Amino acid sequence: MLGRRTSGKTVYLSVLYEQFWKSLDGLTMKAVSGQVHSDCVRVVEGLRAGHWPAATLETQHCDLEIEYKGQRHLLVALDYAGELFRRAFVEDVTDTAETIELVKHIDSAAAVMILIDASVVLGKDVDAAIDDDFGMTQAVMRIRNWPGGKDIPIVLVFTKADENRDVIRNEGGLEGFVKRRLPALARTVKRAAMFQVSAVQVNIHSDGKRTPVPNSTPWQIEKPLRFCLDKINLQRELERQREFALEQRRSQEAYELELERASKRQNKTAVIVVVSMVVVAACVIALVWAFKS
Amino acid sequence: MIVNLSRHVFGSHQGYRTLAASEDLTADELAELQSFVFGQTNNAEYLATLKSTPAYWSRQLSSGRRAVTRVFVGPKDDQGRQSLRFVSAILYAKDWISAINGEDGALVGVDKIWSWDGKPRLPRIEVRVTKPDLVNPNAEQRQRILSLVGLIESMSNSPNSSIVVEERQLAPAEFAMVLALLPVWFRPQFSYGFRSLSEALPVQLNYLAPCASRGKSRRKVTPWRPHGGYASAKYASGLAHFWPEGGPPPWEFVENCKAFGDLLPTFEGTEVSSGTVAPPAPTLKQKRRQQRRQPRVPRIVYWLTAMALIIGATTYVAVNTIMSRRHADAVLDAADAFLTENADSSQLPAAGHKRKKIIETAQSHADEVADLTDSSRADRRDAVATKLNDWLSAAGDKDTKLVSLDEMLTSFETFAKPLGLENPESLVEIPDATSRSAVVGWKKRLEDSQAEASLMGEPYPTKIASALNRIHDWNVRIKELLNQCDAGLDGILKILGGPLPTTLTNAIDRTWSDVQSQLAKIDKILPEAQVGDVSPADPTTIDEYLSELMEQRDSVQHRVDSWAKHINKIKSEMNEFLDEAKGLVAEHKLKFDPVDAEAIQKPWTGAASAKGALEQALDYWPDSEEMLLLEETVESWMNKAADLAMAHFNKAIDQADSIWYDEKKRSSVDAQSNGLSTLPPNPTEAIKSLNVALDYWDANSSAIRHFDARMADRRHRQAVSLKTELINANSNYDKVVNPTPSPTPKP
Repeated sequence: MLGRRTSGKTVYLSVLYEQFWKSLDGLTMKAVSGQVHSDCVRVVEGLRAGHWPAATLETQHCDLEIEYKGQRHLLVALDYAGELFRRAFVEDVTDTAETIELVKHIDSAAAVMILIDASVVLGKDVDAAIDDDFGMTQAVMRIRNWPGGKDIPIVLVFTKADENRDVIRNEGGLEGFVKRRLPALARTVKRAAMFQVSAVQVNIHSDGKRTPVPNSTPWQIEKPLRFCLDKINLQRELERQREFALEQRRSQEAYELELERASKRQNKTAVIVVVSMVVVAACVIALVWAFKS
Repeated sequence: MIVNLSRHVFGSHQGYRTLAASEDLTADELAELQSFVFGQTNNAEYLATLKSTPAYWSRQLSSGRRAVTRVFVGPKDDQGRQSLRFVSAILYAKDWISAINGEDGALVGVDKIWSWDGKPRLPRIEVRVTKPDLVNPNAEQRQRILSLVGLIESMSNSPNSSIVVEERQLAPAEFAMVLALLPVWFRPQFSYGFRSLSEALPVQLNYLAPCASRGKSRRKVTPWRPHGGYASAKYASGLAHFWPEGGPPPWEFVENCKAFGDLLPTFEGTEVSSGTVAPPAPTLKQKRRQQRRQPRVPRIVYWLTAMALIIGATTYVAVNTIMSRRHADAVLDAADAFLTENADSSQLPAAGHKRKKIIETAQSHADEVADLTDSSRADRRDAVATKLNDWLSAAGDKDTKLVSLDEMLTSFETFAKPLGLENPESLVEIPDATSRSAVVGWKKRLEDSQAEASLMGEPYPTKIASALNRIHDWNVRIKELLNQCDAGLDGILKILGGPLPTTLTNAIDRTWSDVQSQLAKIDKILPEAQVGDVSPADPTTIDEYLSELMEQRDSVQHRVDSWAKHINKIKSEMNEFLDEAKGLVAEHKLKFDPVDAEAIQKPWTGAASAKGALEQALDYWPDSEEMLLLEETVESWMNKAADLAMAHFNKAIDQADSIWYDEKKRSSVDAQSNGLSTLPPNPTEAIKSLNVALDYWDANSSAIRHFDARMADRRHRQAVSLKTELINANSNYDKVVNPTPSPTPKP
């Protein structure tokens, strides 16, 4: 899950977890540790109470078990301070412990969700826009250039859809928005699914203060995940078939090799015995001759 | 205590960033201080207590400085989210230890350090700090503290893992006591967090707040159990030993103990170990890699190795045995061949180096044979060894004798060289009595050695005979020399036997020179040193002969002395005249041709005197070549001088005659021109000229006459006759020209 600060990583992850933790069938989620579960639930409770979670100040590995279409997946989602994303991919600082951890995580990702706040892209904060444009392009390029990176599913997730729906529509929908506002990212990603999601809805007060709506209804938050899981399942199936074929070929080769080895081993033993006898006899003769001379 | 420190503020303003910093912080330090590791929370209770119970963490920066970061509640960010603010105090590790002994509680309580006025530049500040008071823990607290110190000690070598302590497990005061009880030298490398919000905080001891997130970090954490033991931790055990329950902690032990777990104090960043420092244990990954590096060895390789070893060992033994026996055979064959070739040890060559070489060869064969160890050749080896030893013994005896003879002959050669015994023909004088006596001794010694030399064989008999021959030749030569001297002395006596001479002649002079030369030769053969020698006790014929000759020589010398005295007297008298003649010749330069006829008179007188002295000297030695030559020189000079004087005299007369003839011719012409029959000529000039000639005659007549007396007299007479004619003519002229009588010219 890639995203700059305030892109909604913590909120999206927490709401996603809370929703599918409570799901009865289909797509379900369960945290591996109680602490992760507790933290996610607390964030959602905080949102319901009208509080945003505190700005992230640590890198957290959320180990989640996902069951989808009869298959189990272990999802390791990384929640991190968005500032680290900028530091790693815009400022190119990749030698600190925190950025190393982030980059490693990206390098081993099975699927990537890129969280973008459309209002930030269109906003007046140039630095923030650079994070989503240049930073994201850099990250995607790193993923694509990694061995096997071309097959990794990448999903562009436009968060805060309740606030940004009109903006995106005005830009010609998601595709138009990406092509017009994030052309470099579109060029680099090539094939990517795009979704608009809204984990919580927002109340904007007269003083400009934004608070989460207590009874928010998550909207389309599972779609990016389902897409990624489908892709992963498909890849797994292909991988399994490929491995099966490979295994069969290996078995055949191993059998043939074993036959050949057995034959060679038999010949070798005979040669060894004969040569050993000849050598020992030669040695005895040589010694006798030497002592007699 | 005054501490000088820099500061840094990290907080959220449109994202977390550095909000303020002291100027002396480096870029690396700033990067380290902007860390996203402390964790976050919305917990109001926690946030509310940050002022009263500060949350902070302390660690060493990579620059070596110490950073103590205290956590404050920050403002809500642009998205309305709760943020934290981190204010760090950065000080040098030396100050951190010397000023506060590494106890950060002293800094955390100073508000001046943590206050920020919102400006981006934070000046370095100096603050006075006081160490916080620590309360002596009770027995239960002591146990917990020791347990945690023990755990820290056991994990002191694992800086990448954290010991996690929860707030409910340990009171802040106990935590402070734990920090205070760590060895002082260990504290700079130790990091810890107090009331942190995340397990991921990269510190060695993490005191977690109750609201901290857990289980989301990949960092290795070790939870602390309050009732855990510390027996395996030596430092903690020592601490417990010196720390009585209910009493004060053993601060002296804390100050002085120099070991903590596997660590010892470090200096300049180098870890010092009391013993051998074991290399770090390989990780599982490294072990697997090492296993992969060791290739599996096929069995055929073992078999081939075994075969190679068997073949190698067999070959070695067989070759060694064969070579050893071949060597023994070769050595024994060589020794046999040597013995065959040199069967008779008495036939050793006389040449020392050849003999020595053969004996050395025999010795070397004997050594080689003795060194043989092959038992299969023992019998032959012993037989050859015995033969060789016998041979060496016999050869040694002969060698000793030969060496003795060689030394004697060498000594004789050394002795003979200066005496001319090498070539007696070249002997030119009689050796002294000592040498003659030594030669006699050598002769006897050589004669004595002849018998032994004949036993040793050639070339020694020949050499000794040669030496004796040379001594014989030497004696013969001496006799010859003595005979020569004898004959010479007889001859001299015969020459000088007559009466002494009255005058000298060239023949007497030659004879005298011969006598002296012969006597000198005899003296050379019989040097003066021989004259006074005492005759040897056992005189030889040579000694006797020499003695007679010496007496004869004395008598000859007496006669020679008489002759010398007489001859010297004659020569002395003769030389007086001769020296006078030589002096006159030199004085008047009579050796050269005379050039000035006018000045010939004086040298002519000198020449006459010299000639007279020479004639007197010639009376003593009439045929003396030297004097005859000198006389010839003087006479030659006188002849040339006479010739010159004659010519000069003739010229003067001719000149006067010519003047008179010219005057007469002129007067005749004048008379004709004046129409006179005769006119008397004027003889004045002719008279003057003739007077000059006559004056020269008067001064040098002896020289002029020496040329040819008759011709000189005739010319003189002509001059006198002409003078008479001129005087008459002058009378006539005077009568004609000057009636008064003119004075008569001087004849």
